[in-house]
Amino acid sequence: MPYTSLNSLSSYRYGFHKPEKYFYKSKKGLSEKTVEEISGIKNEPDWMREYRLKALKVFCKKKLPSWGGDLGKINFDDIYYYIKPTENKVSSWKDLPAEIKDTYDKIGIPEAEKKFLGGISAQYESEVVYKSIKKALSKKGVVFLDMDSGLREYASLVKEYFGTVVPMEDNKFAALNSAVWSGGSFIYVPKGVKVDLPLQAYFRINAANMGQFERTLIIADSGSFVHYVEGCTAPIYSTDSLHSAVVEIIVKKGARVRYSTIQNWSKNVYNLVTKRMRVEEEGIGEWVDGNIGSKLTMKYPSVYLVGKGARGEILSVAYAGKDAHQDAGGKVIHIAPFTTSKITSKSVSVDGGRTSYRGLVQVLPSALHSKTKVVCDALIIDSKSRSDTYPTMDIRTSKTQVEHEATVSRIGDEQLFYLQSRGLKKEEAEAMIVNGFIEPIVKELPLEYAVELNRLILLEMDGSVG
Amino acid sequence: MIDNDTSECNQKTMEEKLEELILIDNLKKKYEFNINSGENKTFVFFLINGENYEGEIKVLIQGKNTKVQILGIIIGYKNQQIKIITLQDHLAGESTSDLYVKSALFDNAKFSYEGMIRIEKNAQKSDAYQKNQNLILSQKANANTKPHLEILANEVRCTHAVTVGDISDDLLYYLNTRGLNKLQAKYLILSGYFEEILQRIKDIKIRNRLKKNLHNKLLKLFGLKIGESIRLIASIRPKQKD
Repeated sequence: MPYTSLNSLSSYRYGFHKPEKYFYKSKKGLSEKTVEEISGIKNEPDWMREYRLKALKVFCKKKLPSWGGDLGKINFDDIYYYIKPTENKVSSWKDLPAEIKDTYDKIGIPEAEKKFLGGISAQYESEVVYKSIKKALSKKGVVFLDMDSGLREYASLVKEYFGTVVPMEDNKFAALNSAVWSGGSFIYVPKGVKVDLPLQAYFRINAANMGQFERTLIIADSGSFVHYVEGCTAPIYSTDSLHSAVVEIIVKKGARVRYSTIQNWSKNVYNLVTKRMRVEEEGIGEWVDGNIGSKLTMKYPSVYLVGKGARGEILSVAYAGKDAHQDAGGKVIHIAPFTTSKITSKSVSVDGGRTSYRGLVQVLPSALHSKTKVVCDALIIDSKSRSDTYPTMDIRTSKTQVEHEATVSRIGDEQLFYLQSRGLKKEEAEAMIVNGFIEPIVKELPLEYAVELNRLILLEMDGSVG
Repeated sequence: MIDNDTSECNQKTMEEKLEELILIDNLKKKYEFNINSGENKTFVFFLINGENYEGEIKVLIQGKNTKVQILGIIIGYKNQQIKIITLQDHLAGESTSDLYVKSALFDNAKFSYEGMIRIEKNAQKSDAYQKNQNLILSQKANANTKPHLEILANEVRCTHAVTVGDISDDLLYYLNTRGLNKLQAKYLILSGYFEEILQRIKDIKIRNRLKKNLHNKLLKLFGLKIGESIRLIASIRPKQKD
């Protein structure tokens, strides 16, 4: 059992430092010049440069949201908006500090991801794996590139869909991302193609893999299926205090897209992400969203059900430890008739952490015979922690069925007593109960991620309880 | 307006200790109530008169071993706008608060509800519940509901639940087969829907008075004759075997 062997890792909290090697670094702060520079270096078409400049203006005009977490401490002038990473990462697995390798081993991170996290992107083995996957994908006509390459190679597709699901005017951080985006994934799945393997960002090994302002665009054509997995559960150390990504997904008629994320940022990061799917007739859009770590996360994956019979599902799990505030949830907008949706949220607050579920269910008059259900469960481990639930239900039609329920509770004394009577220590028992609590969401993740997440929560809980 | 003359406060019932009932039948301002140790209070807002209502009910639980019930019956019709904010603020522990609000919305009625349960850090061993159900009976009626929780203590039990929807077709069909027309069936279903709240009012005199007003309003809204309810209920009772 891994429970006892993890004690030595309790001091390990902050992740590690990715060696900072770069070709180009923009000046701190945000100005038209910075934006033009970014666009210039990437050799982008004029429309994208203009798009970025327009977005910058929107960003300056928009106010910070007055709700949610405390954003007042973000200093937009003290951020590097563009860092071009080195093209040949030469550091080797051996060079990583022993305790980090140790943690990776204990969490059980897949080999390829270990290398990626270690900054060894061009290693032989992962290259081989990557190449064979890439070959299989391109045979089916699946496009899987980083966003910058996507813009170069599939300009017309990108131009057609970029900013259509999350317009720059949506919110201040969507505008910021539109102005300075870099990296992220571009995926196109042709009609009727089912991608069996989950597409994982770390297989897409090239420059600009993980940025502060990622921009991801996924287009699933009629009848296709793709499962995209983003991020990793190991602590990502970042010197940058702001991470603001935008993810846009278009699910066409009868297609299905699942997007899984587990993010574990270091505790100085503001993670402010706009994620949205547009689901057309009979399509299915699913978000599996896990948030651990970070100083403040504000993330509400959304599904717009625009086609008859479309379905949306959001599974959200948030874990807030010391000093962390997880403001997460989900939004579903029912626009077309016979649409259905479900939001399931599980949150755990421990050691002074705060979790907030924030969600929206909107049923427009056109969404006749729609059905939606929201379930939020929260667990508060100790008296220092806090849990909030802020749902909104805006229902504008009678022919609908809307349900929402939420509970907040702590770990029951009987549960603890039972496990302790079976020989578990209090901390072990608590960790086991927490893992059981988030199980319904964890089981939706690819196996290796599920294992990682479970172990990571054990790590996080170690020493923080009792 | 707090109906002090007719609410017959301090009704003593057999099974409960002193329960105080506060009836609010015209919600147009902000109310704030402090609940002290050992008190047992029930607030009822009864809004069926077709006016626009906008108001706030704040209940601050200041002492231990208190019991608070907030009940709401709302009928909206025509172009009525109803906006209600409630707060169950647990400042002291070992207390219970229970909110149950039901609405039925006809015509172009708009109902917006914002309910907050807040459990402060020192209010351990609190139980707080919040339930809001809304029946939308017209394609143009709206319900916007925000049931919020802010929990700063861990030894608590808090739940909230919300439903929004129409009367189910199955229910209507069943009553149809029993010989009731659509309006009669809807009237019966709504009576039962609100009965659940009325049953929680311990003061029988007040309960019966509210019930009578509610039934008259429903009969009027469905264009049925006053006094028809008894006949309707009798008509769907299973016939006794010979």
